[in-house]
Amino acid sequence: MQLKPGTKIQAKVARWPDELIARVEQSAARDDQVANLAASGMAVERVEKWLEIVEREPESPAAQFPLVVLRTSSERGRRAQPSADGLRLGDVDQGSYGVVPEEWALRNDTPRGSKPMRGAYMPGSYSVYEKAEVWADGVADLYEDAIRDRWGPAFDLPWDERETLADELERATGQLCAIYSNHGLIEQKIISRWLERISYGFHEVKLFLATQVFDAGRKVEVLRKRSLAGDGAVGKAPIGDVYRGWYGALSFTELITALNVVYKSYELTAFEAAAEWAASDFDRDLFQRLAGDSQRHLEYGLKHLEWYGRYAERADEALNAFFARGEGHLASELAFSNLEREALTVLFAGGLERLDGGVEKLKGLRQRQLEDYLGRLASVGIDRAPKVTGVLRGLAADPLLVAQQQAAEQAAADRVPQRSS
Amino acid sequence: MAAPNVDTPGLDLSWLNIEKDDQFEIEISRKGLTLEAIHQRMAGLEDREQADGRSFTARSIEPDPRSAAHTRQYRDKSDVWSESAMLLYEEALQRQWSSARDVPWETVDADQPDDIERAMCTLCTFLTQVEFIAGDLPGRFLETVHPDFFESQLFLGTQLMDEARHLDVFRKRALLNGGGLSESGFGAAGLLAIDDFTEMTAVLHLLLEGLVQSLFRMGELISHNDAEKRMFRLSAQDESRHLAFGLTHTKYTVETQPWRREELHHYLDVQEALISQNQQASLTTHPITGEALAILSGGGLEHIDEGYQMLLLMRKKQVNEYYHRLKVVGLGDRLDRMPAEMRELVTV
Repeated sequence: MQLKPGTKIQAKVARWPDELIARVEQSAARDDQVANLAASGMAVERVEKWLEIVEREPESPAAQFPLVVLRTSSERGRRAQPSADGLRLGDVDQGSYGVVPEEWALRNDTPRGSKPMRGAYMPGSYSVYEKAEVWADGVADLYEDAIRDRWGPAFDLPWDERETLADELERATGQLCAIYSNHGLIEQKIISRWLERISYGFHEVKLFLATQVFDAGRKVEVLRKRSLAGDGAVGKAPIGDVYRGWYGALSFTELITALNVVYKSYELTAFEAAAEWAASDFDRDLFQRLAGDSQRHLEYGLKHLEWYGRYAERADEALNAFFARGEGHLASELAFSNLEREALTVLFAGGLERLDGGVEKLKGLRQRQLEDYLGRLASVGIDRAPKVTGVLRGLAADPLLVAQQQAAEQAAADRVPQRSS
Repeated sequence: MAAPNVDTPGLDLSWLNIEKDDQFEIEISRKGLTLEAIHQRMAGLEDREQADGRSFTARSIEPDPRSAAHTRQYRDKSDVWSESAMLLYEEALQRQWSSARDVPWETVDADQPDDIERAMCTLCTFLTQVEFIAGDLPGRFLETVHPDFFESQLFLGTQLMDEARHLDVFRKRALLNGGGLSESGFGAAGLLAIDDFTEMTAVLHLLLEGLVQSLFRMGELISHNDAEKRMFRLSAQDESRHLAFGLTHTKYTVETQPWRREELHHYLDVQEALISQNQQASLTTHPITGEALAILSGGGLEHIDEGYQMLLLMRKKQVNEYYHRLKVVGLGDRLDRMPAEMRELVTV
């Protein structure tokens, strides 16, 4: 075999002795193999040993390998150092590997920093290619934090030490668990559904969303266990209007607005308030853990909206629409389903004796949920206060929507004589 | 408990009057309170073979009649169920690990030979590329599990998490020591063409992930330090759960929907042919990863001939373990329809 001139030059540059080059040319070695070897800078004595294999068994598949692993067009030579929390994504995604493009150009599953091999490129079914559509500063850390802070309901909660509660408190807790467990089930479905649409250039986002899927499953599990462990029942289902906001989202950012920002903000404040409404240390611990998960999901949502607002076209208009729809569906859930508000009322009241006091505390929670929501949005530069859906304001003033019910009853009563006349 | 009479306006409290189960007894084992422990009586599946409603309401929660209907869910238990979903879910939670902290990265020798480093990086590039398809695909089918059979959904959620961690750990290994990512091949995006839950478990779990798992279990042969050994060992542990889920689901399908046997066989006819005829489709037959594995298991380029012998052993182990799984799910009769290249490796 005669080496191509360029390959021979490469071999000489790699300081291969003339005798070795002559031996190679007399062997069954191929030019592509030799070019790859020479480019790798491998020590001459190791090249000679490889050549012995080729000379000894020229027909063997081992001698036929093209040795392409010795070449790469990606960045090399960059070493990573673990940080205090171990080797995190941010520690390795440096240099060209850490550059997240505004638009991901590859339609297949090439990892960021790699290049598709010539002739081996098959576009996939991804549809989200713009960074503005999915990105959030710090998303890689949120992924690592989720793994660091992992917990297991079966073994991290002291089930055998759980306090016994009065029947109505037990049922109210179970009912609340039924609602949020069901929400987790749908949260898990909808996030999973979007994963395959997000292209590989934004792997940090895909990784983080995988943790949210996992967290949502854990929420389903732990709350179902908690409810059944209490009195052998789960409870009644939420109406599910809030899911319409998630399933009806026409873009990823709309989904994240409805689920990870609007809903999660309300969920987080409710879980954090468990210190006040939960009837046992066990439940306070449980909801505190869930709040930690919700906090990460909300953080991603807020940071994403911040990024989206900065870089997406017509972001202000789009966000207004997203918020209106997301808030509307949450408001619909809270208004049309009495379960959550009533269960919280009983828990705040500590039973059925002082329900008026429970309603007052629920009012306090609804006010805090609204304030927290608006404050969290303000922290990322979104002023939603002037436009927030009226029902959410209404719930903060009248958490049982008594005035609305009375108005509806009055309207119904007014219609009766009209019909008869 | 009867709903109390309340005079606070706006309160109904009829939800307090729900059917409860005084016989429901919780047993807390040394594993804690598991899903299996609460899967009983009204909260269990009993003899339910088909889902009840069309709303997004989990089993044994009393639905709100006003809830919207959803059409994306399988109604038959046979389409999604795995008898081991609960056990595997709990195991997944217990065995979560961190690529940041649980892998002794400091044991990767900064001065190891460049061909070894490059070969490992090539292998890790392939793995980081394909592992998340193994997450995207279950993600698609997770949605289709009816809430009556939600335990299968929960398990798939753990698989998504595991695959994310695999993408992450192999990427970290490739970028840790200066080797960097290699060029990437066809990958596995073609798997996104799969259109049925059981097709997914047959193709992804039973066959393809099985091939990867066999290789991970031979991680000692290709690893050159404790970090790589641990990375493969922990990943193999995860893959074992995914395989077990796929295996038990496929078995359940074969037993409860025997008319689907030929359909399942045909999914495998096609996929096995792809693996046998298209070298890109399998780690050990792929020209690039095959080369990387030969270098790694041989201990360097100068021993690539010995490495190639090891590669043949890996291939044999992959096919034999696959055939064992086929027998377990009740498809052992497909030995005769396997491509000759695979069949001749079967010794069990």
